[in-house]
Amino acid sequence: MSKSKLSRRALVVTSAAALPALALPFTDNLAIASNSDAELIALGPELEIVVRDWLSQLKIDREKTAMIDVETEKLTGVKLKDAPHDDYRDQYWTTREAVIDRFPDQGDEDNPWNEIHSRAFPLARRILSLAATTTAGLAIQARAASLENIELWDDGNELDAQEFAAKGFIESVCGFLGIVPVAKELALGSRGVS
Amino acid sequence: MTTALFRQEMDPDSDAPANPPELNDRYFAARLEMEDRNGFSACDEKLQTLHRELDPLMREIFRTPAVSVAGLRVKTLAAIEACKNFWDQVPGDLDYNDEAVRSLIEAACAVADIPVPSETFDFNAADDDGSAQVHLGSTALN
Repeated sequence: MSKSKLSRRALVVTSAAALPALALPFTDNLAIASNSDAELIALGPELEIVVRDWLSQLKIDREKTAMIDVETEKLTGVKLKDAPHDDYRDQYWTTREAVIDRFPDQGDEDNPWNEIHSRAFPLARRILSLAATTTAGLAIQARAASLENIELWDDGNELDAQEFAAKGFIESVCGFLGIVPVAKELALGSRGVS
Repeated sequence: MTTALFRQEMDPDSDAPANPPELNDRYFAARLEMEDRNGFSACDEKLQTLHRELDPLMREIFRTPAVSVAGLRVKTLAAIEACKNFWDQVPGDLDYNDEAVRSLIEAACAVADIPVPSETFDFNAADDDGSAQVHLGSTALN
């Protein structure tokens, strides 16, 4: 399981001292967490649990896909990147289907993503509906926004100008606060940086 | 006759054959002529030029890390510009991922001391009486 450099504790206790760049009026508010921020900060650990489960499942899915890629390539001699994407009746794709069928079908009811999504999305939306008044609160919102938009970091996903801006903005806010978007956490973890 | 043929194409239940190719050609030729005549083409060209100039600047802004609130302010303004249509609808009508970005931009506005963009949704969009629609325009960058 990937493990974040960003601990739950780090999120919760982000302070003016930890963010020296924040020499701004907002800094004055750091000690005066509003009710909204108090709820945000309380939801932070809950979000990180969901993020952990999300990334664990994503890792399982990617490992399974990698196994399918390898097995299909072994049987067809064709790499996925070279497969004909304009003809899904091609031998590569029929073989791939057969390889996929070898894995037990979880069915919709047992799909682990259902349970993860049912926790993740309502929580992320609640977090993003609150008004952050501290950097700690903003950090939790940035993590929630990066989870809600995790597909922006998918390899091979061609982004239009607005998606590029949305991704860049989330990364910018995360960078400013010294945290990472959720998708980057998986990339870091897969390289053994944890 | 032209109207009738277009109606046939627009009606998904119609058994009529598709428009003959020359009709489409005539339609697009007429449209181009109209766009030149009413000034749309010239205006569109100016907007395209503006976007061509703006695009590399926006990309540079998002590539450059923000280490100060001033930097975050620039990024937030750029994000508002790139995503200004997010304020054309009430949050509940946006896709969830767009709504998340809008919320984060608004949160960053508080940090960077930028006015949150005004919603610019069409108040009369649901009216059936054909009344004019109100479009207030974003105030964030003004």
